[in-house]
Amino acid sequence: MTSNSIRLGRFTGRLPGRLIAPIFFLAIAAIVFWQTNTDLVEKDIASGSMQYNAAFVPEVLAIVLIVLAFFQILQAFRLADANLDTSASEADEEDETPTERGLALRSFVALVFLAFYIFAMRPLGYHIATPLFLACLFVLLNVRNLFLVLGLSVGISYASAYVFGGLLNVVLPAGVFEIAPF
Amino acid sequence: MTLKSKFSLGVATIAAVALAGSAAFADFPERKIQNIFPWAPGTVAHGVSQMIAEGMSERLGQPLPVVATPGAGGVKAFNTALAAPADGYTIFDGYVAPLVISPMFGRADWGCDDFTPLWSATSNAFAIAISPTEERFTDFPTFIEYLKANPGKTAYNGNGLSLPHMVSAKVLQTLDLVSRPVPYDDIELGMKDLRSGVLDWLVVNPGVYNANKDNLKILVTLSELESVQRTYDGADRALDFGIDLGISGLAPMGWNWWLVRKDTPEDRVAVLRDAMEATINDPEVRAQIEATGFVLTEYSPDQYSDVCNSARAQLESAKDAITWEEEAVKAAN
Amino acid sequence: MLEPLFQGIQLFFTMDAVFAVLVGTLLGLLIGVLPGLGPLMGIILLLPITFHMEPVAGMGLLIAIYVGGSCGGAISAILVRIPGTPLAAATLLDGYPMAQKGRAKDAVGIAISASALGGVLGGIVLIFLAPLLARFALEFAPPETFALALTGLLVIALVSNEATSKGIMTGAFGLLISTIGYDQFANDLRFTFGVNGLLGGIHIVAMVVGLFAISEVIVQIKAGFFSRNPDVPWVRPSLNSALMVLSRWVNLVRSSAIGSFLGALPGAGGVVSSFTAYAIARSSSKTPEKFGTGFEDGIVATESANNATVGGSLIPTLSLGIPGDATSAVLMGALIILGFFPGPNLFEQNQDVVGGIFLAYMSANVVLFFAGIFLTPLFVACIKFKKQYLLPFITLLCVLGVFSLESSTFHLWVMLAFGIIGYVLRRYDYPLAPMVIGMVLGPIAESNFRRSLVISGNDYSFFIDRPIAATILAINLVLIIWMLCPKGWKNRLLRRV
Repeated sequence: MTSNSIRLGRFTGRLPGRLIAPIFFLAIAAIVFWQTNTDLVEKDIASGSMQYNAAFVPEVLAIVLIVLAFFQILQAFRLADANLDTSASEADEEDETPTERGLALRSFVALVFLAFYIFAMRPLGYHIATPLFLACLFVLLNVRNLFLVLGLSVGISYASAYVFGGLLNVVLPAGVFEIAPF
Repeated sequence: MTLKSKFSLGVATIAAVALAGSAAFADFPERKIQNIFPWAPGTVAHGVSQMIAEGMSERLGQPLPVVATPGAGGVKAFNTALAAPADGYTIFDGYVAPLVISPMFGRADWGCDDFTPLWSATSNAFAIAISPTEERFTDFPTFIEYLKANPGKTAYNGNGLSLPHMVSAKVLQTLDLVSRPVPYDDIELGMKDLRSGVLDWLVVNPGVYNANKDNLKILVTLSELESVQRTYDGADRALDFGIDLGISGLAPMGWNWWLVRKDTPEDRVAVLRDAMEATINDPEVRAQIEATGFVLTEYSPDQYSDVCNSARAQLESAKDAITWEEEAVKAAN
Repeated sequence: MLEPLFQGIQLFFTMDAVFAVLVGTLLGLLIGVLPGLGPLMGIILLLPITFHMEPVAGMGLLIAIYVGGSCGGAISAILVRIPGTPLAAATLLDGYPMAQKGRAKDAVGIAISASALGGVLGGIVLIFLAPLLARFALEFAPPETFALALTGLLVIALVSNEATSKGIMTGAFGLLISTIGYDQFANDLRFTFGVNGLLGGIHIVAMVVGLFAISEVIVQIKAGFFSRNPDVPWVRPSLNSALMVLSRWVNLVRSSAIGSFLGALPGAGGVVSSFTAYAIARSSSKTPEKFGTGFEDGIVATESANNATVGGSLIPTLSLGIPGDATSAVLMGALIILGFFPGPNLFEQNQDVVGGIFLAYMSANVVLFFAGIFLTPLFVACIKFKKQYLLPFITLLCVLGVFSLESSTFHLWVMLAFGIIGYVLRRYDYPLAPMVIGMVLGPIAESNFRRSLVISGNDYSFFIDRPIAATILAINLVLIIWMLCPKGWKNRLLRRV
């Protein structure tokens, strides 16, 4: 890691960090207004009296979001200003140690695994994708005994399939190999 | 990495064994079949489809869960089923709203003949009802008279581009009556508002009628069929007052026809058809379904195209009724 | 009033029915614990089993699942900070902090006992006040329902005490999410972007599991110590927590009353009643500052309220044929499938069935009470597993629970997205509970507001001309003024009172 990226990390931990949520809400409000002024207008449901106007309630809510988001942004800057001198300790807290960075990376990787799992579930089928996913997670979380990883992944996957697929009659994806014991 | 590769090898072995095992029984069906149901789960309609599914499941030797996939008047369920492979493992619960009405309004681009039919399932006929304590009108003629004298001043349950609203709008247009349609998620909620006096009249189905006989008075059934009259304990038909609604047969009713994708292999379709035919002829299943107020329609697969297309043609005539009503309500207020 | 009960005795006290209730309650508890699967999905998935059962046994099984499931979600909320069902989102507020203080046993015990006792109180209301409350529920037309939903939304601000503006933001976001899908008043789609999965809107369960469970998995991984043995002592069955609940009887009775009342009104349901009971318990407490830090009263309020809601929701369902919430709507469908049409006729012609159902409901709560005593040690033992084993298992359960909603992977993407959103919001102290309230109440508030205008022909006086609607709206106004009032004024006013 270069010192530059560390400084950036410290920076994101402070002021811009607090801005993530307000900016997210502003983006949501922007999407609402974009839709109510394009798609809903095309469908001719964004005008007229309130009961037939599909845009009214969403726009009111979007305005609430915009007002409060700006309030949060303002507050974030005020806090940042006020803490300018005393923020050293806070900044230290935000400073991630290598272990913390590693853990943050691991949680990110776990999400990536989850995304791959969701993506692969239909094509590969539940009974192939699930043990793979579980095994990856176990390894990610420091289970190092190969037999344990294998046994747990296949065991948990199969037992859960029995409960959901067998007892509750959920249609689990069979995948290209058409594996569907339940 | 070696760990993972060893692992995937293990899984591949297991998969291969499982595959070899299943290949030995290559008969259809060899796993679960799903029925994609277009409305909310746990409704009576869902239960009725589950009854048919159960009967078929017993005959096919595989479970047949009815998966509720509500959204956009049933279009979501149809899209979902269309996205599944045409292997006979996915059945459309082809309700009239997504099958016929949605395409009519440009919300979907399929027609009756884009699917291969199994047997028809059930129908559900509607009727116009009022509160028994209602004094402004007591029968169909006085009802017509009152609505004529008070255009746009009354309200009833009418839900956009769906049944039974299309039929009720058509009736109102035919009789040149204007009443405000109020959207409700289900007829039961409308029933509550009829009882509390917020709504003036209600379009009901047999289920709601059976549950609330003491609080409902049927003015007229919206079908010319005598079987429907029996469902509503001998209530009058519009025909009995000399009024022609312009739609008949299945068209003024809610109905569903079980379908599969067009390109499904014929032998699989045959297996499904046989199982469904046997199920709907099973006296036990019939009794169970009829007790809910739903009526088994018993159309065979070869009648599908005619029945579906003629219902569509008739509903086409009711299409303007919705726009007509919208404008008439606006003008009256 | 008691007549149906006597008539129901011989229908209910059969091997089948009693066994169905016993199994149903335990199964419901388990279904509630699993993230994603709640009482609603549990009942829907198990409904076909009842087709071949005797009516009272079949209904008993389903009602018991409802009772057990309404409680089970609290257990995972307390132990792993993952509400097993949206109902338990309010129990999280005090349940999890309590477990963090090493009192997991007490928290779980209190939650189950409060649920059972709240359920019994709800049952008493059901048996004795059904006709009265049913008549009152009939008065609730769209304007009243809208006014009440608005009150529920104001609870958002009360629940998110310290972070009111952040709470309103997440609440508004929840409301906005609920507008996705088909708008039945405009007859067209909103915010679906041509995506098939969005045509039915965002499923609340997918959202809740993402917000709470997936974000918690992220938090737990970031916290490290995967192979550390959790320091959780073995516990033995005890009556202690039941006694703790009983010693808070005022709160118990009040919260149960709120639960059964809101349950009886069509539309509200368990999520709203548990948050409302929580807000009222806090504002009438002598030590409101203890709420949110692992306070017994918090759990008693939410859990007794949401199980009393079950009893309340059966009132309009059985006596009017109008379901009190989504789950009782399914129960109503089941009853029709079993050959009985709920509504006024049912009480006149099938008193024995009604009585059998009442007895099944009461018995389920009794079973739940004993389950609390004997199973708490078992539940608490679950968190003795190391994180490295627990987290993958929980993640898989989330995936399966959400997948089974519609056998669809789309909901899993929704879950993942809300997992990330939930993590970010939590990281910057945005409360998540208001999102759940907003999502639940959004459609009720919006559709009843617009429905009122359609019925009245765009006449706003409709809201004021109706006495109940006008009263609730006035109360809402007072609540808003109170919340906008500067703290100094409030204190001065309170001191004078």
